Amino acid sequence: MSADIFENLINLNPERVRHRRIKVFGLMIVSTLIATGKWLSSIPTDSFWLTKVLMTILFILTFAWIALFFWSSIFGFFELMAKRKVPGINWLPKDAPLTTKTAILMPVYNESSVNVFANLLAMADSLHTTEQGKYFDMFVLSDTTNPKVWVEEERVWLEAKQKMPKEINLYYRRRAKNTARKSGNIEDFCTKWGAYYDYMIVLDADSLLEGSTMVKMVQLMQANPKTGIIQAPPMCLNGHSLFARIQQFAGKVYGPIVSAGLAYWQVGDSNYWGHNAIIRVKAFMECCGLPVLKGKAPFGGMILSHDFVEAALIRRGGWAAWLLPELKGSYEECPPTMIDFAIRDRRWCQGNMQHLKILISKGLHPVSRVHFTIGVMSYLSSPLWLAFLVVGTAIVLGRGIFPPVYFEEVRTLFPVWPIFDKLGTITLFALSMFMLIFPKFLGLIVYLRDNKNKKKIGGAWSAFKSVIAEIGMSVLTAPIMMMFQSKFVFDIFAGNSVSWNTQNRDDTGTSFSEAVARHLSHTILGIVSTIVIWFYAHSIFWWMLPITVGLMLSIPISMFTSRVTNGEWFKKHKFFLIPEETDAPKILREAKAHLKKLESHVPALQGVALLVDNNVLNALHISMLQVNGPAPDFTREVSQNAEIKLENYLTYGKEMDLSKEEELSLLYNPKLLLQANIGKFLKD
Amino acid sequence: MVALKVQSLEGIVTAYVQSLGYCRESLQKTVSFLMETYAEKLNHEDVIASLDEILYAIVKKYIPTPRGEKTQALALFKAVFLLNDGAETCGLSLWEKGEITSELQQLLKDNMLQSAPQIKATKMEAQKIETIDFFASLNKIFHMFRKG
Repeated sequence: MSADIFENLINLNPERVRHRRIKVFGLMIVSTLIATGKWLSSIPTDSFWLTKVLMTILFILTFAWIALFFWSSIFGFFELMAKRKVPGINWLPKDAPLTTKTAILMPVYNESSVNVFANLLAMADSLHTTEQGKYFDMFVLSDTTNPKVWVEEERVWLEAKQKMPKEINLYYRRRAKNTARKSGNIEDFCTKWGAYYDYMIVLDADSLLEGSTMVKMVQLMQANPKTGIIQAPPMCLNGHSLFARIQQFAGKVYGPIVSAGLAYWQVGDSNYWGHNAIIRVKAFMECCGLPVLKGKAPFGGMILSHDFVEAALIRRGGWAAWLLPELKGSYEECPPTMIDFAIRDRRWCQGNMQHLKILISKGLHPVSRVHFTIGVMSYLSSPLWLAFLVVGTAIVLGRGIFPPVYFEEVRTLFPVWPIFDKLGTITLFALSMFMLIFPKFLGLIVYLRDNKNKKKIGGAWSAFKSVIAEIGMSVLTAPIMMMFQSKFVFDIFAGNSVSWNTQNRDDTGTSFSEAVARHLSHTILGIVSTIVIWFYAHSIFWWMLPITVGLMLSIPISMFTSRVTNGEWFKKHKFFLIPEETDAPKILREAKAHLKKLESHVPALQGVALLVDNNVLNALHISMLQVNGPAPDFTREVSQNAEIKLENYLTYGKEMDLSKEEELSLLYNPKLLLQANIGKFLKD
Repeated sequence: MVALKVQSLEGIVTAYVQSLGYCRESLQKTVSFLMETYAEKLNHEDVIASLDEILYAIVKKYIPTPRGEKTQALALFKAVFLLNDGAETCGLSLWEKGEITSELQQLLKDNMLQSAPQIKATKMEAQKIETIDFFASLNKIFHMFRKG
């Protein structure tokens, strides 16, 4: 992309942007080169040339990744300390009027309806207080496949609609076929109703955005007509398990300098994370229609992680994309357990690996390619790190099993001493740890400065000890996540499409059986490697201990961190406290209040049984079928079985026990549903 | 549906009117009126469809620019009617005179239960993403070497 285009986009000298990028990437490259030079001098001189090359490549890739994160965070820290806003984007005054309508989109897929609508009601109430609510409409875009959840969505929509502020419409649409998943869902909205709106705010099912934040986002779009996307970095909230609380603490303390660092060098070429963002509908429709990629999965087929691609396409189309850490009041929930986190990672990993193919496609902005690379490296770094550890350990093992040859076949006067710079290796290790850990303390400095009321964070000492505890926890969990992600990458490249579904869990977290199922291989690897290293590579035993201990204890760690009781215990002892826990934001309190009210009305009956029993819901469901799109085809057998079961239910009170297909066939049969509802009155 | 076919005509009419929220005295009056006025016109094979036709003919003037098919439009009316105690406020006059209260009229006009706006179709073209096929490129390179 030429500088001219960039100049036209935002009110910022492109040279200034270029200097920022040179600083961050320049420092990354320089520090990587220096470290690599040190590494080369540290490798044992008698190592086989292939292992030297391999280790060096792995070192460069893993160190560069750490260096980028480090330098980006450093610049983010300085931006935050100076309280500088992201340059180049125009801000309107707080009370600037909105002039156009925005659609708030909540795509859902078999979610808890009461949670979804409770969040929407809280956001609607928050918008109402801004007195700009009339400029917003809300859409629940359902791709739900579970028939009982479908009916429940309609029921709760009806209830929520009656609680909405009058000036905000709450719409609901369920697609009969969830073509292209979430991106297809959004595209469906755009092609049907996009013409009514200038902007759309895309949410996730667990998103919360304060009304004032949404108003600011629209104002920013109004004031910056060349902007296609504005991403508000979401903060994790409402976590109760220990794992979730650690994540939300890390997000609160380290998140700002990470976001500020990214915004520092990305400026108007930022990325889109799929939710808690506002998008210009016109730009999106012109630029972001996703194709089906040539070839088979995992690299071909439907684009899975659509957000990165949409950001790249919108940028390619000449629109700016911004990440604005200044936009507060943007929240999401985090996975409550390590296994839930891994399940989410599995999906994201596949989507990001697919970007390898798009990364080198024509016409993309260079920074868009960097985004794809970062996304790929987020997962690829794990197997690279694993390979680095394996090769390094193998070298040491080799020495243990095959001692060095001091006198080779070619006669020499003196023995050939292998030179190994132990101090150099330790220095590099310490440097890597410093680069990983130091930004956390910078984040802590900003956190303490920004939270003047120390009571809300449990005091400065509480924050400090929490950072130490978080570091300790990261050390233990990092090798477990490394193994998960390495497996995901391997599976994807091997073309294995493994479906990871959670088992039903109660509130006590990950069960022993589930933990064993997921972590047994990690535990075995940890034990075996500990034994082998102790006996054959003792010199690196203590260095490898954090990794081997983490793996050996993966089952108890996974279970322990999944427990809400443990999260509560740590909270009671002032660990991982964030101000949003001690003084919950109003929107979260309102969401919880709405949730409590909605939960108090959940009927015992579900699905077709509820529609048979409830004439209002019956009529409502039938009235909405048109909007959902054409009914799918059902086999005669399925339809007939469904009808027989319904008859038996009405006549003899026999449990319907419908399969998913049978229940869906009934839900798409308005005539039968109406007759069944009336038949119920006859029975009564 | 067998559960309905075995019922008397009056039984089905009663159940239908009940499903619209009618009860006690207004239920009796409405059923009597319908039986007197429409009993011979009802399709005994599909009584409910017949009753729906009668109801639709009465209320279609209140459903502004009927959205979608008749079934969905009528279902929308029923839902609004039920939610706003239409049986209580309109009673027999709905059937006898084809009248509903002004409040109900306004609610229908205001699209009280509109689940989505009218569709305003716009195209969204799929973008071209020209990717490089690794394996095809490798094949090309090998082919070049083999050739010469």
